[in-house]
Amino acid sequence: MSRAVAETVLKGLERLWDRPPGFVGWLSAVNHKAVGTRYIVTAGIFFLLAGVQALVMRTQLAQPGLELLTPEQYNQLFTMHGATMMFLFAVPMMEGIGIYLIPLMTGARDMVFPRLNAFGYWVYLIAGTTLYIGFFFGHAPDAGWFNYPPFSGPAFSPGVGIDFWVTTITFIEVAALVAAVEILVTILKVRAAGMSMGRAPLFVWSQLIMAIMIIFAMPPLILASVMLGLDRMLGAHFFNVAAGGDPVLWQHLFWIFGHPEVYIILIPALGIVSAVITIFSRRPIIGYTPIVASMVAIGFLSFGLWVHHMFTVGLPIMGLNFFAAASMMIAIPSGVQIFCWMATVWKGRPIMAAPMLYVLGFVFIFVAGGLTGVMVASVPFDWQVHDSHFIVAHMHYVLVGGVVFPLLAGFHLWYPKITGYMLSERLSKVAFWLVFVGFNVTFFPLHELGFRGMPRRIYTYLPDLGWGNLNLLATASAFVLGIGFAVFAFNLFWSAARRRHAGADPWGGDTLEWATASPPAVYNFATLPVVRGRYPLWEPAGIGADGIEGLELYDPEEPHRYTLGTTIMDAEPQQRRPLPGPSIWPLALAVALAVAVIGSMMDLTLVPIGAALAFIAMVGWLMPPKPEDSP
Amino acid sequence: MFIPAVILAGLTAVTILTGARISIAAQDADGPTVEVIGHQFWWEARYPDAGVVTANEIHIPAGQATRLRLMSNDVIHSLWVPRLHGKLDLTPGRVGDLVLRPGEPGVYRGFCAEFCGAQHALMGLLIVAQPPDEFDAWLAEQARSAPAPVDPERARGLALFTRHDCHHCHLIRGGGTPDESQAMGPDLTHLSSRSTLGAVTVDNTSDNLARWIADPHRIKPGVLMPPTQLAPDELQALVRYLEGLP
Amino acid sequence: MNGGVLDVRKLPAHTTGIDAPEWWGIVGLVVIEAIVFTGAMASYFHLKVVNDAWPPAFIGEPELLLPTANTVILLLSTIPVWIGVRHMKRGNERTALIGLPIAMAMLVVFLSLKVYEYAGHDWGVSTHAYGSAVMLMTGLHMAHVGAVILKTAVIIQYIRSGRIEPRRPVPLEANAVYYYFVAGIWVPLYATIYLAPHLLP
Repeated sequence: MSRAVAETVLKGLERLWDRPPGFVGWLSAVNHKAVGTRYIVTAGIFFLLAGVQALVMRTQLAQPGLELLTPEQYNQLFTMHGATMMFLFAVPMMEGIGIYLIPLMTGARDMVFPRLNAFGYWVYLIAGTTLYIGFFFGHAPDAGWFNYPPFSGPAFSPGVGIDFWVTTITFIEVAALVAAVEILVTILKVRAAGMSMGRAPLFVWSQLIMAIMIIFAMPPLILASVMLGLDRMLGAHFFNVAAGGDPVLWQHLFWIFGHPEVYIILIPALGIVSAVITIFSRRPIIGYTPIVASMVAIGFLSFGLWVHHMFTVGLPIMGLNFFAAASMMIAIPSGVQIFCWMATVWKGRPIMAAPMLYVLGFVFIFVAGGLTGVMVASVPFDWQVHDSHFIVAHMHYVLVGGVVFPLLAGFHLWYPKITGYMLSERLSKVAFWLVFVGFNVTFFPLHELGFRGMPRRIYTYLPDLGWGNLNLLATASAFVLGIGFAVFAFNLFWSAARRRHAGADPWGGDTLEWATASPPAVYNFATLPVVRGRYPLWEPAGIGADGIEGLELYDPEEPHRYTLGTTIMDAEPQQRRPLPGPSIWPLALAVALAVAVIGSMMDLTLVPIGAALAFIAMVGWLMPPKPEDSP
Repeated sequence: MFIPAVILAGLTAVTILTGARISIAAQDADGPTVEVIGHQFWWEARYPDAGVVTANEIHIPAGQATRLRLMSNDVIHSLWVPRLHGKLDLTPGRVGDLVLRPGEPGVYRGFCAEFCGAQHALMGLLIVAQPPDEFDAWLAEQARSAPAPVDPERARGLALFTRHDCHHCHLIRGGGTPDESQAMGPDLTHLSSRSTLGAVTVDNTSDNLARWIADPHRIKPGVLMPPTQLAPDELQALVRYLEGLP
Repeated sequence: MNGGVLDVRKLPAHTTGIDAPEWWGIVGLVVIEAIVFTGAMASYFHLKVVNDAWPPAFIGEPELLLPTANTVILLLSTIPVWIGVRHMKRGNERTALIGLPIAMAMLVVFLSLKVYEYAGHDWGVSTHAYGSAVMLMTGLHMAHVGAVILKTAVIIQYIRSGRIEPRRPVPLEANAVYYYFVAGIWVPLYATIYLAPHLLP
């Protein structure tokens, strides 16, 4: 498929880009596909754990007065379920998919800071694993994923469970931020020659917007959890009313992060949907510019909505109205995208393959969740349903519909690229119907339970309230949903064992990742592509017609890892960018910082020790090469 | 895109108008004022004008607008009586203002809607809306102190109440118990006038009361009240005394 | 790039300023940290609003003379850094080797005076929410100054050993961007901690 490249060059590239062998080599790998795969697999495992927690909770709620769980266990479970889904699954999964795909889509050999990439993954892995070690030893946090003080403060939660939340969640935000900077600069600075921003795939746009949002949204949460940590460990009083503090301060800081967070995971999902719609409608997307503008608008608006999580705090009503209006406005850009996608399908020649099926499931569920979203944006309506099971239903419609279904679509679309094998289409469809029906029958009744007064976060309820039947229905259906995910997981493994080869481009895709082998070589592209349009593989004058023309960027005389650095807007070639190779230092730095951050809950003297170790690791990592070794 | 924008603008207008109507209606409360104080995991209700303190069952006059002043003693709670009003949080350091105007007499079920700890689930309350004259009678009755024990068994119950340190958390006004109340637990001066125990967890019967005193964690695991070690006859004496509190 | 293979062998391997990805990476870090500091200042003012007396009477309003002089020292220390970077990009590394140690010494003075100032207080992070809010801002900033001192020492060493040279000054430049940020963010922090109690009702 590519311009003939000499076998010796391919061998040379392979040698140059491969990681060292063995376990230490594995630990020092920095290639974006290795890091991206690790993110995806790790996030998938956390999704599984959080899903099992959800099933246990649903079982406890199946009937009034069940004693499967103690209240303490239930509270730990819903805290871990929320924290895992938001912090350990959704954001890392989206970033992981971006890390895997962005260089392939933008025609680069790797991300712009490969070692930073590996560092982010190690931080994520250490933080997530530590949180679960606490959980399995019975020290899980139990104050909700939102962790409101004063309940989470030293007076009412003296145990170490909340310390696990404070330290690991802070640490995991570091990972999210690191990956965000990585994704942002990669998209801005190392695209294929000619891939101006106006030609960037919509998925790349969505990742760019996600990265910028993460950079603005996560720091307030880090600040809040540092404050809570100081309250708990050094006796500070940020949230202690008796000494001038204010618990509502936490709520502001948390939701200034927490609301954009929802859109941080939604926007890349919208990017996946655009990718699937384009390929399976077999035509250029209608409304490329409006879709980009909508994503940007959603990103902006999402920072003005946080108070709608605080409508019941008792803030002045005139202030609340502003946030109500802003919350309603976000329905407009969301709607614009849906109309663009519908027009594209309408005008195209749609193919009902599995990815498209999941996208249709997304549209159905997400629109339903959007409608209840407009409802809860209304302040008086929200006063009634806030913190009831109506919200449980609304938020799962938005998050499962808006994030998990697009992710499933994306998995079906890119699984052949990542593994080289096709998924079983029949199993994919069986899984779809189980997940789709199971989801709706589980969560739709929860709207009604909320109307009937069932609050959230309760481990049981009294029999005379009459909530038993709908809860039983929801629980039974939750197992159908669980079976659906099991079929999907089985499909992943079974299809890998079945080995039906996909080839480079099984779907007739439009973007650059389909121009390289499945799975891609470690250097991605033997010759770097030059792009002449928005759909490089579909443009007659572009890349797909008579082979890739492009840049070899490989010189046996001067064996450095190079990718092409380009200008931000127009992607004019600007730099032969040398990229650093495998290194153990990112792991060393992650461990050193873990000693400081996570160690702080055991002994505060670990903070300076960890900081000193981190300094050593940073010096080792960032040491520029000697003049004779530098290009 | 134009049509959805118009619909959303309309919804925003309705939102603002409804919110304004609720807050204007809240300005002219013509009924009593009740201070509602959230505790882990029960509700304290104070009627400052009448000098009445009770728990978990808040009586208010039907047809009048009663102002609830919402405060918290410990963590954040949220008061929700679905058939009367939306939620409002009880936040430490702040005072919430909620006005209830039940049209019809009746008993309205309420819940804590903000996660507040182990027994957030069973932190219920009842709003008992009564005709104004019945409400006034109830309030006058509640304002009276507890009577002295009328028989030896009840006198023994009262002695046990003090001996087992119950009075450190529970006040019985005029019950002859030392007034060391920190209001850790509900005021028991008129315990038998309440229909439920454990913040609307079980009915207020002799059996349930005895079970509750012996080990409240059997009924409501995670509650802050400790179990009490009593011989059967002691338990019965204590229950007899408490049942006699009108 | 019309037809055939685009020859990129002439492109430079090292870029500087906004053409360098490292510059954008550092800007990302600076934005993240600026938001953390902004949040800390916003929290200070939030707590000021919910409290009747802020600072509380038993702490009183902060002294101005020493912190103001110290702020001037911090801001002036950016000048030798700025000159050093300029000269490095013009091919002269000697200036940076003189300027950076001067800047470092000024930072050490700044940090020492801060430690001296706070050691004299009879209140701290656990005294009152006011103490918590002020110590959070100051403590975060002092940690940053300490990190910049260490980083600058390393950079000086890299220049001496030829690992940073005029044709590839990016680490020096990136460190300078971070340096300017740490010095610059102190201005609003200074205004919040020292001026606001005197100027605001």
